[in-house]
Amino acid sequence: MLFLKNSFLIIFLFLLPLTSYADLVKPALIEITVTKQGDVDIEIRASIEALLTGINGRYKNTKDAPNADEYDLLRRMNSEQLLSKFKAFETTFLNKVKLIDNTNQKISLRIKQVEIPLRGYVKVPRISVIKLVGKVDLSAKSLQWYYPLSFGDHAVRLRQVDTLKKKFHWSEWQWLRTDKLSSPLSLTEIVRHKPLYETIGNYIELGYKHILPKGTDHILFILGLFLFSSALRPLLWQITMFTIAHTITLGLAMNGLFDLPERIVQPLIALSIVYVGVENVFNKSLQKSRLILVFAFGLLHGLGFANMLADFGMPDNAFVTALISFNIGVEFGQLSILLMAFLFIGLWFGKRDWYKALVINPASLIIAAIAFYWFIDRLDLGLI
Amino acid sequence: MILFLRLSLFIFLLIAPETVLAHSPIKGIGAFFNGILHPLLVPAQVLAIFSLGLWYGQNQPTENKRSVIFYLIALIFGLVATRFLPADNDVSIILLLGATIIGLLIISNYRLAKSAYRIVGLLFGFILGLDSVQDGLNLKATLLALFGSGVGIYFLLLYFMALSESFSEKTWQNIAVRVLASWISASALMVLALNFAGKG
Repeated sequence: MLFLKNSFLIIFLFLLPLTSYADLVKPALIEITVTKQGDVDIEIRASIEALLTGINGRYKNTKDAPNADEYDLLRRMNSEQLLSKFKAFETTFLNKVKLIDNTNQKISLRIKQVEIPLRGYVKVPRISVIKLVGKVDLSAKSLQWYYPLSFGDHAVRLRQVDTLKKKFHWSEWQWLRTDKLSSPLSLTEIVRHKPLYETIGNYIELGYKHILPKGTDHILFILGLFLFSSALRPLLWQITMFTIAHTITLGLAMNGLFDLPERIVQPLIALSIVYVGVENVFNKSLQKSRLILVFAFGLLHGLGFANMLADFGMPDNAFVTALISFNIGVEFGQLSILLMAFLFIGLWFGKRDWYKALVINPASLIIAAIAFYWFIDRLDLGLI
Repeated sequence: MILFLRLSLFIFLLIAPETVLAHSPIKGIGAFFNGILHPLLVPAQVLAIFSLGLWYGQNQPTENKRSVIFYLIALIFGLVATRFLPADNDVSIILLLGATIIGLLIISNYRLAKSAYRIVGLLFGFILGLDSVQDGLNLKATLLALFGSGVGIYFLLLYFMALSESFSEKTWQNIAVRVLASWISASALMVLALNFAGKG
């Protein structure tokens, strides 16, 4: 018992110097609306803190950037303070973004409004809305958008609006991760729907990458389940419960039927990993209570997936396909972790007499200690 | 079949790093994975862990679990201590000497009291931790690399121990382990000599 306490303390102290403000770097979402009269409205949903500090998709997390402190300082500012910082950046911003028509004519844009939300939960990025307006020549056939890579990854789509007939049409999202213009966004034709296989491929990839390598917390949770028992039957039971549960909440949340704020979901996800780690040490056989808890934790993790997926948006015409594809990607991610865990741990030590004492217990305690650190950090109590 | 799979994986892991770069991170794989590979890339560390793993595996690891626990605790303390010690401490000589002695103990099949296994575990764990200093990285990368090193150093011992335990039933297997141990002692002595020659 003393060993457990000491291990927790040492690992906790070891992790302490890590910065407490740690936002995922999220892509900007850009929606361009063009009316039949040639009026252009652009809504950019992005983290102004990331724009001002130049923290972009090179970093998985803001704390990976050398100027993470500067980001944290901006993140702690109230809306008015941040707005005044952005005012000084407006000209640079307008000079860097670009909207050109099919004749290479640059459309003049100006900032109409900047909406910065309240400080809120500082563990997730504050997404502000920058609204730009301009006028496009009525003879223009298509538009191309440019948003420099230094501002980060982004997704863009265009809406054609016929105000007289009260009709509109959205293009597909284009995800841009290079420093190039978007593909032409048509203003005259019915926008081409992305082929189904492309949607499936994109969302499977998204789901997979959300687990491997980006989802450290999900990786630890799955490893925790594996460590409890590398035997097939209990492992399958746990993974099945987890999968069913996260599918339910992912589906409900993406349909807008159920949601919980991230300030509740994120600490609870961390706490679920602590529980799994600690229970691995004290429990030897799979019991119903464990399955029920894994199911409950799966519901929470599903909300975490939904929060992430919401940032990318869902195609209106293939919502269910995209959702299922994302879930399949998540499953592939989980299976990859299990396969690696089996190859590197189960195959070697699974049948040894000392497996529990020398592998399960230390690894589970380390997982629990890391997750406990996340839990405290995500509570945002200002303790660390 | 399982033994064959394990051996294949083990050999793959050993030959995967193409070059031996002491304390040099491999670009592009991240601090944590660099940390995991670190003990495999430093000759003194891999020899020390190999010898200790073989030794523990040959001496009833089930009854000697505490030695490994001690090794783990000392390793954690050693890794934490790197945060407070200068980056240029060179403890690899102790590891090489230790590997030589442990190799000789395996060859002679000399049994020691249980407490000796624990003390050696403590000593090796702490020094391996100390020898995992990562310089030239920012704080977060340093911590991740140290954490990776801890995982690498601990699991590498378990792999060697498991292999050695699997090779402790038949006479020819015991002989094979002794031959391996003699190679470890010889290699450790050679690296030690090269170390001194380089300094001279």
